[in-house]
Amino acid sequence: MNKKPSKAQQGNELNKRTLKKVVAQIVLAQGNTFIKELLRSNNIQIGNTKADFAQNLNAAIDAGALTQGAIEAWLGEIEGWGNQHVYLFEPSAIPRTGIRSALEASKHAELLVRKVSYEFPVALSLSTINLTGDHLSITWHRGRGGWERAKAKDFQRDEGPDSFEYRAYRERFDRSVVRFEWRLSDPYSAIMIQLPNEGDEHEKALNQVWQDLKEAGLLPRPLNKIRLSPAFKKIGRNTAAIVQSTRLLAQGGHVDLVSTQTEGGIEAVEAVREVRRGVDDANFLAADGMFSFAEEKYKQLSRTIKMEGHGLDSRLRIWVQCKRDDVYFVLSVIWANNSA
Amino acid sequence: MTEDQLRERFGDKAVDALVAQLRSGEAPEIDPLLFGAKLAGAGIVVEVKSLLDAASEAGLVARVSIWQCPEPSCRRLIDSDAVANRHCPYCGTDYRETGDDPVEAVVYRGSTAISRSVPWLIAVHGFNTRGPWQEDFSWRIANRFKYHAPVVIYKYGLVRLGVLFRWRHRMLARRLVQQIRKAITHARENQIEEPPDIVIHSFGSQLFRLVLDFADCSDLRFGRVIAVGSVIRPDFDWSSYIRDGRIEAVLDQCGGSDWAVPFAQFTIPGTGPGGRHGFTDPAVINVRNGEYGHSTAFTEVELARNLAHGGLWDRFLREPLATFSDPTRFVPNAWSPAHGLIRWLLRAFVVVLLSAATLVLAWLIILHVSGSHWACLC
Repeated sequence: MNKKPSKAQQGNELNKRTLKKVVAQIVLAQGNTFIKELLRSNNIQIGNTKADFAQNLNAAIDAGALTQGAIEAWLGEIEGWGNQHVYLFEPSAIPRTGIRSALEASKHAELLVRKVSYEFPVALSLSTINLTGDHLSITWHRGRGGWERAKAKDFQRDEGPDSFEYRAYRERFDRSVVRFEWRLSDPYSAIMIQLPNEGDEHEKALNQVWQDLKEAGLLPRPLNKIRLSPAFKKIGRNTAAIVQSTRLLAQGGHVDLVSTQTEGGIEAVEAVREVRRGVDDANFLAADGMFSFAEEKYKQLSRTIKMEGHGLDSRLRIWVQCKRDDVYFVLSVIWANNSA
Repeated sequence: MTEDQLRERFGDKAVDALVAQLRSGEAPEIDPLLFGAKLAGAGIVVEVKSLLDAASEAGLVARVSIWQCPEPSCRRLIDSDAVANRHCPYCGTDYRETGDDPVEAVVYRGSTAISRSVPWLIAVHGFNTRGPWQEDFSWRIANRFKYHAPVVIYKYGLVRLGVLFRWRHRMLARRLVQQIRKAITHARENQIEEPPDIVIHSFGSQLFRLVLDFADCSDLRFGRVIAVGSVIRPDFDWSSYIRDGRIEAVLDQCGGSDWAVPFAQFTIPGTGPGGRHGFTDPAVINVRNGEYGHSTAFTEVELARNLAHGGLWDRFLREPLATFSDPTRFVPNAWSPAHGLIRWLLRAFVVVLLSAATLVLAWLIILHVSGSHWACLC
């Protein structure tokens, strides 16, 4: 029996005009590689520039070759993945079978039917809740204006005896996504934050995540952060990852090992590599590092991923836009090295 | 520009230093400032950037355009992702806000082959000796590498007659396997995951060959192998082990004055004069020192020379194989063992001779003891 779509679901249906707006604001803001993939997978002519992409995407929407469903499935893989900070936490103690009922009973129940949100409010706001199979994915959105230096618009003006220099900035709009991701079979859950780690930005975002998860009936209190230094130490020594730098921290000091090569990490620099070999990891309490997971070595990746690890605050920073599977693959490497 | 023209313009010393730098595999890229300092330290005065630019025309190095962070306090090299993101991953500068653009710069890239670090080593001595060189070797390795590169010394006692019998070879090789496995576990516990390099001398090489052959040891992997005075057959198929990843590379240190090795095939079953003739397998690096006898390479002076920075063994253990070269390297002729019957007869003769000698000795001892006994009674 066909179920009639709910009001919320109907509200999710976008007309072609609105869909084109989504393309202009969100789809075209993604990396060219990913846009090409969207075009290719839907048998749409590709092109070379963003202008080509826009034209071809709009034509495909008009022709009915590109649907809202296809765009949303693609955005689910791309939007809010990569270029983010990731914290790992112990999973919630809530029974797996109780998650859906807890969500349905909470004040956020209506978000369960919303697949994608195109709204980016000024304040970080709970946006979608997806529970499919063994995967719970909750997102928060925030949109914020920023200022981008536009030197070409600078000018000088003399007023009487004084000379004035005017420096121009162009307003820009940044979209940020914060995620709580939990694959129920994983021994960890993750909070992924696309906000700069400046001031108390992350602390505020984390507090909001905990508050909303509590209101959603998923946890009574914040989860415990998982220490990641063991993984950063181990990846910094014995993996296929390229280690561009590593910092080992002890009480009273630290050791920095850095490769300044454009290709190749400290393993490629004999003198630095031999210093690394002389270090006993057990003498150091925490480790940071800048690592590169090359797609040639890690075949599961769709692209090379540059990742920065911060052992002291158990945080990792992914420096490139990538896909959901890429992020999960990097996390699996971290996890394997953290528990080995 | 050719290399000859490069030499004409900048001098042999500067070009030799550049070639040595490229071969060393110290790092994939050459920093002109540091390379200039190295040249200056060696008393070579040259305009380094011009030399490197010319070397790129000669095909010795590649001149690659790269991006640098524009922040004066950072200046780190950044990749295309950082350029696209307009955000430095090192100093955190958001170029959108500063309005600065990444700065284009040039790096000089040599061969992609990089040097390696010796992870740990195993030393296996020959027969009729307790291998006193092993201690000296271990001490020199400990002093040569400033990081920790432990040496496992395998000693199997003073074997003499045992080398005549295959069962004894297998027994000693099994003991070697046990020690290697124990050492691997211990190395892993101490953060050394790589397989060991190994130095094998004389009969020790035969034991190592057996270890490679044992079906239940196919999981054992080794790094670089230095064979000295080896008694392995010159036609041994090293390539198959290299292909399978069991070993990385082999250096056969031959001695032009090694008079022991040529007799191995007539006395020690399953052996040959690999340490004199060289290995015919093209994967092996054969080097010959005309002055070397069977154990000369392990004398104090020669060990010091071979293991010193830039010494033959040191370079073999560390340098990229692709650029490894040595003036004493040679390609041996084809080799075939002496006729099986001759080998069998000679070996039988040696066994009979040694058995007879043992019997005569025993008889003389008995005579001596019983003679003394009768003298006492009288």
